[in-house]
Amino acid sequence: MGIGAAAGTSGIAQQPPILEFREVTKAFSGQVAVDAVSFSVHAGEVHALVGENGAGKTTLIKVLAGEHTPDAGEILLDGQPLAIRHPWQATEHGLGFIHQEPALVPSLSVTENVTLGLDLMMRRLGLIDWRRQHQLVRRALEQVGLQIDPRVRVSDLGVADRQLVAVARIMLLKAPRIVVFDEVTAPLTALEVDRLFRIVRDLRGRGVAVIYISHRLEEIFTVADRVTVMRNGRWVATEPVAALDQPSLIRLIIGHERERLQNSVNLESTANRRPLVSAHGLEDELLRDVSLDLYEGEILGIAGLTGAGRTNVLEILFGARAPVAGHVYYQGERVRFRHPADAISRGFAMITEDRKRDGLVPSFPLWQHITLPSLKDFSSAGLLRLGRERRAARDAAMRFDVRAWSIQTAMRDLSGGNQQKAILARWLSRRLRVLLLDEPTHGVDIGAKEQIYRIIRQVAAEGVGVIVVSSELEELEILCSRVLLLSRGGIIGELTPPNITKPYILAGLFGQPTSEADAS
Amino acid sequence: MASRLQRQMPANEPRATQLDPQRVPTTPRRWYVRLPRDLGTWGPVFAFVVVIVVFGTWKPSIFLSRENILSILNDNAVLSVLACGLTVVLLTGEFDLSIGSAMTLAGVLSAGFVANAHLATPLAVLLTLLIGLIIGWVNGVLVFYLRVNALIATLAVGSILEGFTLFYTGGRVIYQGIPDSYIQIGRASIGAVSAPIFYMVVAGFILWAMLKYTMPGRYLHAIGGNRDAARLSGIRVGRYVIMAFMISGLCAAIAGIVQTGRNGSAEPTGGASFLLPAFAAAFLGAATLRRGEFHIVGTLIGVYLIASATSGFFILGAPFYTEEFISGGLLIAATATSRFLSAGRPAKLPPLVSQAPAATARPQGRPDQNSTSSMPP
Repeated sequence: MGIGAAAGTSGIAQQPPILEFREVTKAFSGQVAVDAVSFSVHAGEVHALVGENGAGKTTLIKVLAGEHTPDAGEILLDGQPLAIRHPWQATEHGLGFIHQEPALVPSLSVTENVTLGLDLMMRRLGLIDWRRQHQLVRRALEQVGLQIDPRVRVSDLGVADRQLVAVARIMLLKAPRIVVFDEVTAPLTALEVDRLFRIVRDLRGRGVAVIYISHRLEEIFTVADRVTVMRNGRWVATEPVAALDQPSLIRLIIGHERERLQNSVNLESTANRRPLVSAHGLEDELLRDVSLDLYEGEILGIAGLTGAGRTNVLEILFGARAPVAGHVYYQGERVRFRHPADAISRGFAMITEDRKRDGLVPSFPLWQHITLPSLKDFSSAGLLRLGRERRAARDAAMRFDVRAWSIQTAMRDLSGGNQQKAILARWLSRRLRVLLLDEPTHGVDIGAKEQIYRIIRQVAAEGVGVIVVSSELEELEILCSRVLLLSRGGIIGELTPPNITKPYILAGLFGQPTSEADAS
Repeated sequence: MASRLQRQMPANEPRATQLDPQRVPTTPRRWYVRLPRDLGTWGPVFAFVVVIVVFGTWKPSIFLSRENILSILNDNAVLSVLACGLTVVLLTGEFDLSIGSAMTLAGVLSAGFVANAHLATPLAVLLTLLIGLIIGWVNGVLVFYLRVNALIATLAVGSILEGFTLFYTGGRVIYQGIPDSYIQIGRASIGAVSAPIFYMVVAGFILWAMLKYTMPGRYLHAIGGNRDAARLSGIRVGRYVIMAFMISGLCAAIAGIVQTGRNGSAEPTGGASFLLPAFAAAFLGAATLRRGEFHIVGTLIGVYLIASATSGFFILGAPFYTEEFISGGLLIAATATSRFLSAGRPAKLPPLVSQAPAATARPQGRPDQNSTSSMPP
């Protein structure tokens, strides 16, 4: 399949592949993440792996690294089945992995991090010879073009330098054979990306097979020789990059979708209305001059790759994060929210991306969780009216179809979809003007998803301003009346119907200038 | 537009389960349904019963005598007050190691106020309580706003308080010139109920009611459960963390005053021996009745489980160091069994219909669980 597709078109393919995925399948609790994926990688090539969020790239790489055991299929290295049970075995096979979040120990020095687990101790009289150790690391750092003292602690380095330290580690592998770059460029500047590309090409020149994962398609065209596309856990195509252009690659990534016209957005012009919320020139460590207007009854989408600063925008509007610069206006009046409580009292609500981390109190029974932001309503003479509170919570749970044993069920015992509905219920049973949603259907099953969409539409129909941040482009397609494109902390475009479609959003985000994406 | 929004799922939507009111009952599952998985948390209660039955049948005339019961209650009342205050801090996920030193300082200061400064007893008491609140406030500010780890901050504050105590007393016991009105704080009684027992009951009840029936109480639970989620729910976390430390400081001050009254003297090291027993009782209480959550009733059970077991062994002629062994042994036994037993049970009971996709109406539920639950089938 994959092998066949690539064989005729690529010169390198005449040699036997160094790495071969054969029908690799991996499922998590019934959800197939990687579905019978087969393709091969050759020595001395840069092989890009692309696909949307959730296409299965990361899972596939984790199977390669031995973090997951495949349910079916196998991985061949030099024609031999590869069975990695432990990370150090990967190192012995000459496999190197560089992740988006480099796996470094912040409290240790660069030298210690680079040599950690590599069995490269320079010893003298049985003790570590730090002078030679630092020299060794300094050479590796030079190879990646990083001029730092190897004695500094990793915690003192910036994100980009950390990334390069992780790369330097690869340089010290005894015989690197396969190196995987997984979304490495996300935090890097253009200059640093160039430097990284030189390293990638250098590795290729040394006969190393490089697997390069990135959302940024222009990088694929710059650095990769061949590209494998995955969609919904399946292998879609493996093609030489030279045979593709950006639109055709985007088509491969998103597939040929059936026409969907579920977006029942009202197309009333926003021109004459006053915005409910507007932000001017928001800046923080990630955001650069972000301005936006949100109108009553509007569902405004924010699309962007991970790390673009989407969550920061919502957190600033909600008072959960202080902007370095910029102002927020609510109904034309300048507001300074210093705490979420300030925003909540003005009718704001925010639903966070990571429920477990900051969305719910796992030990709380369903009823207490629903009433937590509204406790004042159930308090009289300083005492809580528990009966009234329970009844109100039960009504809200029923209205939003939260399915639980009882309202006493602890939040941690609910399914993801029901947790999310319970979280919606707690906010929507309040007086609400602005609803901020960060990945509202993250980890939610299909049925609950539909219900959540319906609830969001209904909320907007009642005049609430809604902002939806989502990585699921269909979600934006279905829900939004306007979509802002956020890239590297700045808003780079705005889409309005009928252009709120996956291809337009992707084209905008991947930096392919289209007249529609420039419309802002 | 700004009115309270009443939202309804659209009525025409096909749904897997039309939730009738009984589907989401307000009453918890019956006790016999919960018992198996809660069994682990009943360990300390069970142990309490065993202690009473065993010693009660062995030495009924002594162990179950009115004098012995009242003396156990009375002797541990001060510890109970201290431990209840500590419970509130532990509930928020913080720590307070300064309570022992705060208790000592409160004892010597209040004694000093009446004996050396000749203040009226009520004024001395009020001043001391205020100092307890200030100590708690300092702890809270250090921990929340200056982000010093609670263990370190309260250890340091405790050390400073000890230094202050030694400075104030010169290392000597204050026993002269303490008026009878002050002594009565620790020694008065209403019928059979001594003053310390009375304070314990009042403090315990107020804190219990505060945690269960007031907004701040609920907020403290939420902060302990997930601080970030609490903040994003609009709870001003700092305010309540500081409040918890102030409650703990206040309870330590009460404990110090009452202890000085009981003894008729204030020792410059009096509170140190209360610190670890207070923690032991609170942790024992967290393993009692609720899974890993600190609560007032649990803490009181913890105090009196250790106390009654110790008393029983003393009656049998056990040596004076038995108490420490019992306290440590019970703590390990209680936490280990509660972990072990609840690990053996399904920690998660699957929700009745949670996984059913909305479009397909398939028969839900697990008949075995359904029939024993309080929900009508």
